[in-house]
Order: sequence, then structure tokens, then C-alpha cells
Amino acid sequence: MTRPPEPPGLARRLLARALTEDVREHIDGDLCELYARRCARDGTASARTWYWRETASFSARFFVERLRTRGHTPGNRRVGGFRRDAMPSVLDARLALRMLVKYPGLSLISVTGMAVAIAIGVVVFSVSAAMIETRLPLPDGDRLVAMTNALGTEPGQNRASLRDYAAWRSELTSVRDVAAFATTRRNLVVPGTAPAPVRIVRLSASGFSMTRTAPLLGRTLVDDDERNDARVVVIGFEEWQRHFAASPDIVGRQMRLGSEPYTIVGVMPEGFRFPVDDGYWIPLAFTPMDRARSDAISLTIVGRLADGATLQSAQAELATVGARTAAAHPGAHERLRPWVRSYTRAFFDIDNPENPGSVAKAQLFRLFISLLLVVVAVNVASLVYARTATRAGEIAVRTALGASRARIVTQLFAEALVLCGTASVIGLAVAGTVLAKLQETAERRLGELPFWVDLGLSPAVITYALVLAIVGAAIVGVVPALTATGRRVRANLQQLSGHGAHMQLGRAWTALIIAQVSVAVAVLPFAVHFTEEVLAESTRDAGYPAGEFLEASLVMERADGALTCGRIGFCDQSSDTGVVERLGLDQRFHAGAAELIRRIESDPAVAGVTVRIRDNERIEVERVTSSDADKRPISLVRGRVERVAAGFFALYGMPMLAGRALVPGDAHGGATAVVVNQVFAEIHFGTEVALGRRLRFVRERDGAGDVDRGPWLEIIGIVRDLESSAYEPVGRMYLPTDVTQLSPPVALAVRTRASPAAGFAPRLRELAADVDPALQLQGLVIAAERHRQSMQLLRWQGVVAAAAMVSVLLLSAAGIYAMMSFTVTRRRREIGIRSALGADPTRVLRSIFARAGAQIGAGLLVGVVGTVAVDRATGSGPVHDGNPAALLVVAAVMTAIGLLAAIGPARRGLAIQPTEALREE
Amino acid sequence: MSHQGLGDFEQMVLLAILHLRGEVYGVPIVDEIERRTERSVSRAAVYITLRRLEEKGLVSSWMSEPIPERGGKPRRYVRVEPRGVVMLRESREAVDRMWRGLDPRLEGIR
Repeated sequence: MTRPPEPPGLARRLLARALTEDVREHIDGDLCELYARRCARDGTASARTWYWRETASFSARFFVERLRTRGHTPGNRRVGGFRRDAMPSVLDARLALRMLVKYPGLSLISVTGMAVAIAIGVVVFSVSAAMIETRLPLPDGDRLVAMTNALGTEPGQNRASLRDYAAWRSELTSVRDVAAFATTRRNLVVPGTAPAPVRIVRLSASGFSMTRTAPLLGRTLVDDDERNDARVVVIGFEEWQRHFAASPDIVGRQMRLGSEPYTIVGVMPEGFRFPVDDGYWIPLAFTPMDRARSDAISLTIVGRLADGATLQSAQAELATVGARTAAAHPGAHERLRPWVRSYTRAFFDIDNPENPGSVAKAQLFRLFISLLLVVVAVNVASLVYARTATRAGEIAVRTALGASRARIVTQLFAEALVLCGTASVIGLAVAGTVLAKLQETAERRLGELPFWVDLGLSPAVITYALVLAIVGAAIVGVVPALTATGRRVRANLQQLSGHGAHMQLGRAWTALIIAQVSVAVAVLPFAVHFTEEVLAESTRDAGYPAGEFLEASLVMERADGALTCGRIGFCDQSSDTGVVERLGLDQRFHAGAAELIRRIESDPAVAGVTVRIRDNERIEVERVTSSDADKRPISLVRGRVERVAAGFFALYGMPMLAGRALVPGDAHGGATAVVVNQVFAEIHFGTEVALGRRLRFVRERDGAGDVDRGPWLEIIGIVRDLESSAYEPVGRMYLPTDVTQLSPPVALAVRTRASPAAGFAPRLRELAADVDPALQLQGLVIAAERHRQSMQLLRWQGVVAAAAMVSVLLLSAAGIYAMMSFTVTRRRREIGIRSALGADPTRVLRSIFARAGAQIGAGLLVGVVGTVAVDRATGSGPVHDGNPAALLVVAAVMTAIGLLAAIGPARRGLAIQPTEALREE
Repeated sequence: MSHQGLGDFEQMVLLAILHLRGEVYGVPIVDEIERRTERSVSRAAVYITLRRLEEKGLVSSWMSEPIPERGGKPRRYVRVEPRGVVMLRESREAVDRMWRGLDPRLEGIR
């Protein structure tokens, strides 16, 4: 039996919203059942279409049913507190659509700008909502909490120990079902497939009762499992489907995790992935040795708020218990402050006592991004305002015929709503694509996303987009409408008989033009520069035959007894680099890795194998120059360090630019050889010859400024770098490493004789499992695929930036054009009269262009000064990076648009007949 | 008790349940109506009708255990209550009375 196909997620969520609670579950089940049948019979595409149709049908019918049962009867004089004539009607919508078509240029520009702003807002909303959301998709999931200790002297570092677990579990009354867990990685060994590392959760039995989720089959973990350190495992629904073909007699069967056999005692229902995105749960057992050093055992501790308890009351009680523990064990607990927070926020380290206000900051950021829409909406509003001004006569006539102000404002609002609604739909579609891409990228990069995070278009996100559309419509439609229908309408009415109605413009209009130009000139060069760089980078070649390379991180799983780990917030034993004894793992890893490399090398399908150990920590390096007679260190420079096997450069085809490559002998006996890449040589030695120069590492010992200095190293070669990037050049130092003395994690690279290398991946896993079942190949991937994904991500960034840039450019250009053109049009009559009185046309034109030029010039000045200031302050930007052309082009475009906008109306003004001008007056 | 008679669709749903017997839920009810009437019906309408019939006390329902093949979702089984049978019978009799005296094929009537 295979896993049943999943209906479209968005449709399913919409359906869940539309249905009432009493029918939701079984209708969802029935439709899932039918969907699976349709998939088998008609194919997935057809089934999806069918499911969407059913969703629409159910939503509509149940909506009508709700109205029917509530006795909702529209048609009153006042609806929802509004006068009925002020309610938008179908006619308003039709008129609005007609306006959309009648002004295609304005519609296109406005909709594009608003759509981009809404898409950005929706993406930010969705991502931030996923992070600050406190609700888990579990029964009463918002009452689950995580408890940690804040360490006074180490900001951001939280820890909770086995001792805390024991104390909190027995003493807390405001938090129930206190549970603990830690995660590790083991090789999953299932007959028929190559062993692959999976994440295992060591979870206390109370963890299951805390989540209030019953197993689908068998049982969950029980206290006896913990006491006896039983080799039992509960598996997830997806794992049951994927690895065990949803076998109904799974309970009682054996499986292997690493080298140990486990008995499957239960299967959890679909969707249960607690604590992060997990599908294997084993008992959290402690040895007497663990209990003896309970402070050294780090755990993630969670629980459920008791009925009637709040986070505040739990915090108060936890503080009391913490004070008692500190009094009893001052050495270990004196500086610790226990802290309780929502489970989901603890995961993302939000609400951290060391970093207060992080939720507020996230919300502020969301508000700031929402303001982007307001900025765009104001821009669009200025365009619409110009159009509304040309309709002043129509508005005056309608007022004269008895239309209320509310009616006219409603119609103009409806026009804006249709415009913003269209933008909203497009923005949502764009955001949906971006979010899906983001989710896919996050899953690929992080390995897994928390089970409660869904970056899809949730009902909340759709609601947010609709709210944005309404806010946008209010700005775009209502503000110009209120202005057009205010006191001035009476004056317009009086003027209408002979001279046509118009709206007055003032200093605010001039300020708007200046602001418009300056913002465009200040913002666009950065966007152009960034887009240019990112798009150029995204076409970069890998620089080596990446299709022939398989890459993976080689690690070794820890023995069960070792429970200490480095990262304590959400404790992951596999990331532990060792605080306590390493239980001989180093020796085992040395032997295993060396043997694996030997076996890979001897495989006929392999052209070569090499390793590198990345030291991502940036460290200080001292250098000396040959010009300095006493070889005294003269400066500190930064470098990124990688330890590589001899033959590394040759396997990747990295040519030596000077000197020689590393050889096996370099790694033995006080190794002093170092190879640097071209970027490193250029950054740190300039045009000087780097070969033969000496370097040494400098590490800060403590906060007092004392440093440890390593032995002097000599640069023996300069190599062209792998995947060299002009966008983000990285200086690298390559030190030799002995393949018989490797320490995890090691980046293993296998070059196969055939391309693509994917065919060798299962064989590689088999070899590793054969050498030692505890050896894990994490993140096994073809190098070309990894490179393609990185480039694709860059391309996406470039496309998003380009879309934002084009929309800003269009909006700015259109805004400036509309405002300039409108300003000059308003002076048409004045131009005509001056011509009639015999003024020199050149002087008239000069006066017009002087004003337009002054407005544009002021805007340019403010914008250029802003760009240069930001450029200098941040040390990055078009001017700093030697690309001032972007700034000049944007300034020239804005000037040209402004002047072009003035030319047309001015020429028409000059051509006006004096009698006509006087008649207008 | 409501003295309102049964609508056509309500009758169809009740009759489908009676035809199916045993553990009857939404999916087979829709299939049964479509098979016998040879026309498609709105699935949503069937569920709404079922709920309405239950509110009137003409059918009763109960939930099954979670079913893995349905993503762990249960089924809601329904059965016709004695009152439902009585109402069906009355509806049938009312229609019969109206037909009485007319040619079953309505021959000669345009």
C-alpha cells in the first residue's frame, strides 16, 4: 500500500475555512478518499481540478446555508451602518472596470506598482507570521511552552540541564506534562535501500501526553521504556508510508538505527512531526553516570500550561523554583535565570530574555514593509488625483443632479478597489510563487522546516493581502475623491457654466514633485547596481566539472550514552563537537574515514577522491613583509581557512598560479606549508609577490585582549580559486591535512569517471555503511546540482529586485510625468493670455521650464546627495563600487521625463488663440 | 415536530441510505443517487441535506475510528431513524393520492 495522494493544500485549507466544525472532518476525509480514487483513475492534474471545483461548490453552498440559517436579509435602508446608496454596487464595479480599460497606461503602471508592493508585503507577512506564530497544529497547541535558563554573561546562550528537568517536572504546577528531548542522527537501515542518516528524537514518555495526540497504530513511549532504556521506536505516519509501505502489521517489527536493532511499537497519525519535523522517537533514558553529572546533560525542556495558568504565572513559579535550585547548587545555577516562553517562539529564539522586544521588532518590521505599500499607494494616488482633477466637471454635474458626496466617493473608491483588487490578485500569485520557492529553498538548505511552518498562502495571508488592497484603495481612491468633492465642488459648479471646472494645486504639489524625483534618484541607482551584480553573478560557471562530483559531509554518529551537546536551545547531539569524553569516536572516525577513502579510490567508477575541512570561523592572521628587516608582524588580516588533502587542487582542476601544490609530506611533522588563493594574495599582499611570505594565526584567548600565536607558516603556492566569485570574493588559505587523522565533519568529494555522478551515490552509501554503520554521509549531492540551486537562488533574487526596480521606475516616471504635465496644463490659460498680450514665446517658454527645471533640479539635488551619503556611510553602492553610471542614468531619465512632460502642454499653450484664452478667462 | 413534508432531494437522500444499508456515509450516498437517477448531483447539497435531516431527527449519525487510508480522518456513518421512515411513507402516500385517477403515463395530456 502506498501513501494516499494529498489534495492541493490551499484548496484544502480554504475548504476547512468554509465548512462548519461539525462537518469539517468527515467531509475532508470523504473528499480525500475521492481525490485518491480520481488520482488513480484520471491522473493528478484532473483530480486537482476536480478538488478545486468541489472546494468552490462546498464553499458557496455552505456560505448560502449559513446565511439562510441566520436569517440574513439584505435590502435594508442602512446596511452595516452605511447608507444604502453609499454601498458599492455591481454598477460601480462595472464602471470601475471600464475606467481600468479606458486608461490602460495608468492602470498598467498602478497595478504593477501595487502588485509588487503587495507581493513584498505578503511574503514578509507570511515569513514573519511563521516565526512569531504561537500556535502549533496540535490540540490546544498554543499552550505548549519551552523552558530554558538564560545565562547572564553569555547573551543568546540558553541552557537547561537534566537537573532542571528533574526539578521542573516535580515542582511546577502551572506547567503540566513537563517533557524533555534531544535529537541525534543515525543511519536508517531498511532492506532494499542504501543506509541514509535520519534525525532521531530522544523523547521522554511525557512528551506524547503533552502533545495530546493518540497513536494511529500501537502505542507511544511509556515510562517503562525510559526506565529500562528499551530499544523501542515510535515512527511517524510518513515514515510508515515511505519505508514500510503502510504495512498494517508494522507494530512489533524490527528496524535498525545505526548498528542497533529497535522494535517498532507505534505509528503516529499524519501530520504529527513533533518536536520539529521528526518521524522517529526513541526513549530518553539516563544512565547513573548521567544522573551523577546532571548539570552537564543539556536538554530541551517543554511542557503544557496547566488549566488557568498563563505565561506570566508560569514564569513567576519557574523563577521561584529556579531560586531554590540556585540556593541548593550555587556553583552551577547562581547566574542562571529560568525562562518560559511559547514553544514556537523558543524555537526561533524569539522572546529571548537576552533579546527583549524581538516580537515587537518583527511586528515593527512587518509594519515597515506594509508602509512600502502606503508609499506606492500615495504615488498611485497622485496619478489618480491627476485623473480625478480632469473629471472635476463630471463630479460637479453629478452633484448638481443630486448625487450625494458619499455616492461619488463610493464610486471613486470602487474604481480604486477594482484597481487594487486586481493588483492584489496578481501580487498574491507572485507572492505564492516566491513563497513556494522560499519554502523549497529553506527545506533544502536547512534539511527540514518546523512542522508548523507553512509558507503557503494561508487564509490569514490572503486576508492580509485583501486588507492591503482595501488600505491601498482607501488611499488611492478616497483621498483624491474627498478632495474633488469638498468645498471646491460648489466653486467648480459655478465655473462649469462658462469655463469648465478644475481643481487647485498649491505648494504641496511642488513638494510632491520634488519628493518624487528625489526618492527615485536616491533609491533606483542602488536597485540597478544590486540587480546588475546579482544577475551577472547568477550566470557564473562552477569553474570545474561539477557534474562529475559527488559531495557530502562525513560524520560519525555518537554513542547513545553521550547526551551533552553544544547547541542548547533546541538540543542537537549531532552538532556536539565534544564537551565530555568522545568515547574513542575520534580513533574510530580516523580509521573509518581513511578506510572509506581507500575503498572509494579503488572503485573503478571513481576518478579520484579528496577531502576538505572547512573552518568557517574567521580568524586573525599576522603577516610579515620581506621589506621589513626584522620580520616583525605589521598588520592583522582576515582569512578563511580550509584544510585539504594533497591532490585536492588537481582533482578539482584548480591551476597553480605560482609555486607548488600541497603534497602528502606537507601534512606531517610540524606542517608549515600553506597555499592561498588569488583573492587572498591580492587582498593581503596587493601587487607584491605573496609567494614565500610568512603568516601565523592569532586567536584571542579571553576578553582581556591576550592572544595565542601559532607557528609561522610559509606560502608555498598561489592557486586560482574554486568557484571564484566577483560578487563576493573570499580570500582562502589552504592548509594540508592528513587523511588518516581526519576529524568530523569532513567535506568529502568524489569525482566519478562518468557524468552525472548521481549513479554512484547509492554505491557510495553502501561503501560507507560497509566500512562502519556509524559513518554517515549527510547532504549527499551532485556538485552541479548544488551549484545550479545556488545560481537559481541568485537569479530569483535578481528577478525580484528587477521587478521591484522596474515598478518603482515606472511609477516614478509616470508620477513625475503626470504631475509635471498637469502643472503646465494648469498654466495653459496663463500662457495663452501672455501670448495674446504680445509676450515673447521664448521668454514664456523659459519661465515655464525654469519652474519645471527648478522642481526637477531640487529633486535631483536631494536624491544625489542622499545616494552619495548612503553610499559613503555603508561603504557599498553604485558610486563606491565604481558604477556611478547607474546614478547618472537614473538622474538623466528623470530629468528627460520631467522636461518631456512640460514640452507638450507648453507648446499647446503657445498655440492657443488669444481670443480663446481670454474666453477661458 | 415540524409538519413540513419532505423535499424531493431529501427523499432521494433518505431512499439512497435505505438502499445502501449497513455502514453508509457521504461518498456512497452520492454515488447511489447518481447511479439510480442517472444524473449528477452536487456533493455539497447532499451533505447539507444530511445535516438538515439530522436536525429534523430523521437520520442519526456517528463517527468511525480514524482511517489511515483517508489521512487518518474518520467517516460519519448515517442511518434512517423510524421518524424518517414514517415521513418517507407519508410523502409517498401524498404523491400516490395526487396520482390517483390519472393515467400513469399521462397519455392524452399535453
